[in-house]
Amino acid sequence: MTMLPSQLILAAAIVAFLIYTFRIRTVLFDRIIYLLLALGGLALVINPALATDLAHILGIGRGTDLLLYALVMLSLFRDVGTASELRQIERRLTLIVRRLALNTPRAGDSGDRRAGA
Amino acid sequence: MASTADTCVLIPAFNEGRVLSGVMADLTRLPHAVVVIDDGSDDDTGRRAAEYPVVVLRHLVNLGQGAALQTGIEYALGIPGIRFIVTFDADGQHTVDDIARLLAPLRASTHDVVLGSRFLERAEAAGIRPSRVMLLKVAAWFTRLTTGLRLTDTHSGLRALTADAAAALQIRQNRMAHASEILAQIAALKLRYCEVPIRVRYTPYSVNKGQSALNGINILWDIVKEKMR
Repeated sequence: MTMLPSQLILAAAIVAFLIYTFRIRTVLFDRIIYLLLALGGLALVINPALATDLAHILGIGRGTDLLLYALVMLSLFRDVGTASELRQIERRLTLIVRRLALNTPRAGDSGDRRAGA
Repeated sequence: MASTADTCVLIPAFNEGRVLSGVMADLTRLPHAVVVIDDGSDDDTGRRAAEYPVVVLRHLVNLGQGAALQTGIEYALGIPGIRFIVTFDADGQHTVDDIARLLAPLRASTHDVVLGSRFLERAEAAGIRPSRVMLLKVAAWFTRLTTGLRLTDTHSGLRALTADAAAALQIRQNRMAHASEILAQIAALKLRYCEVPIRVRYTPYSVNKGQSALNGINILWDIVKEKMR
């Protein structure tokens, strides 16, 4: 079985994505990657033929397909970022709700008081 | 009575108003401090609990059982004289008589954590649906694989811990994955643990209120998410 360069790169990208997600992800890294993607997008706007040329180098038929693959990877990457931010918000919410609960303990009725004392 | 208690029983409760009174009546006969964590219930859980000599802590919004336990632990550790902490389900499935059996190894200082098991004595597993037994076996296998702990029941809500062990735990899993998280921390902290057999009474109410098997996927999902950066 022979693999196209694109297949190798996509497989590597998925592995890299997992390592990134579970090991080295930071907000700063995220922003650097977004910045690079924005620059890549800009390059494509200036020279649309670039997508096709790059696709051919990687063994992909059309530039559109290359962009589709890139989009799938990007959306995975974005999902992780969003999930991580939601988790942080949930963690903060938990701390606030917990602090409020701990600060306002309510003592239940003792047996005597229930008897009407 | 509560001032001299050395044991605090924590009851996380979410919309358990219908059954809580039975559990409260049983528990408050014991010489233990009782803390109910009303986890943002929409019903009268908090009001029902407050009819008994207990402390009620209220989460303003529902966070999940794991979060409720962590809140309860932090409160219990602030009560003077508390040496042991017990976690107990609000739905009426647990038996208060089992608490003393859970505490025995802690009082003997031979263990730091005691976990209630529905399967340690075969006969006592009677009444649990076969599909549930299967699921719990998978969970036990998964736990052994990931933590090295050899347990017969990894998802029992009835546990007892020393105050020191409870202080060392940090439950960050707000929802049901906290059961796995607690076990992972027991392993990581090298706490001395054991299981004791407990009896459960499944009522249509508690079965309905309990976790569906598919929720195992949610638990796995939460565990994976916690590993993300």
